[in-house]
Amino acid sequence: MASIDANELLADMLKAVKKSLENKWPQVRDLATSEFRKFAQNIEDIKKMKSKGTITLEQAKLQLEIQKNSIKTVLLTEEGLGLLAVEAAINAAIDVIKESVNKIIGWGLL
Amino acid sequence: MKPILGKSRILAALLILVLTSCKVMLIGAYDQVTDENIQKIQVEVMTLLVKVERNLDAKDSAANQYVHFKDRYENLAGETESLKVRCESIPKYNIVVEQVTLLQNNLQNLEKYHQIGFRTKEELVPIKKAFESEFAAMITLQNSLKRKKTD
Repeated sequence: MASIDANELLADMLKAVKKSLENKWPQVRDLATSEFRKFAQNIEDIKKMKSKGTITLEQAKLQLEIQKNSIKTVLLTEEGLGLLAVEAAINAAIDVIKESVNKIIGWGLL
Repeated sequence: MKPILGKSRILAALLILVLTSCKVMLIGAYDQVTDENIQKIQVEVMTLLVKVERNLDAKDSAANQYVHFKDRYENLAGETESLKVRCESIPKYNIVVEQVTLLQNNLQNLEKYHQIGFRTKEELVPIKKAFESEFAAMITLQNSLKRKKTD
């Protein structure tokens, strides 16, 4: 039976993720690498467990589904943190002009 | 008739209106109840997994049968559903709602797995790690929303 190398799987997966995420890749690189490493390792482990007869096909699929949902949750947090950063930048920009604009217009507009 | 305000002045006024409408919010505000419920569910899920792990260590397969955990899964299903309903009512909370939905799916997956049965500790390791990552991510986002409130 052919062997499975988690490192090779990881390299292939990361290549695909990088291509798919394009300019967002640098932002999620560390987290995505860590999460997909666990995923690749699990596939290697599933092969070993199958050989020993300690896991069913359905269980193997459930394990991977649990991991996929976990990766999605991690990436959603990254998306949320990105939105918070953009939000903070916009509010900082408004804060910078707040005092002078209010003074010139004579209203507490900002 | 000459307009009272020129185009540039109208644009400037509109810009000011946009800027003044209040602080920009791209994601919903921190909600303490949501945060506490996520942490409560985390404790319950991790306790369940540790219990399974200890039974495997003790080679007590009878104690690990699904029937002994059915109530816990039912409670978790109720708690995650309530959490989802709450999050759906909070404006701009779609990311958190999506995370709670993924957590619900994962608890259903775990329950299905448990119904088939755990045989070795080896199979529990990736499941435990996945839940740890999932909860850590959810709590990280909650903490970030909390920090934002103090801005």
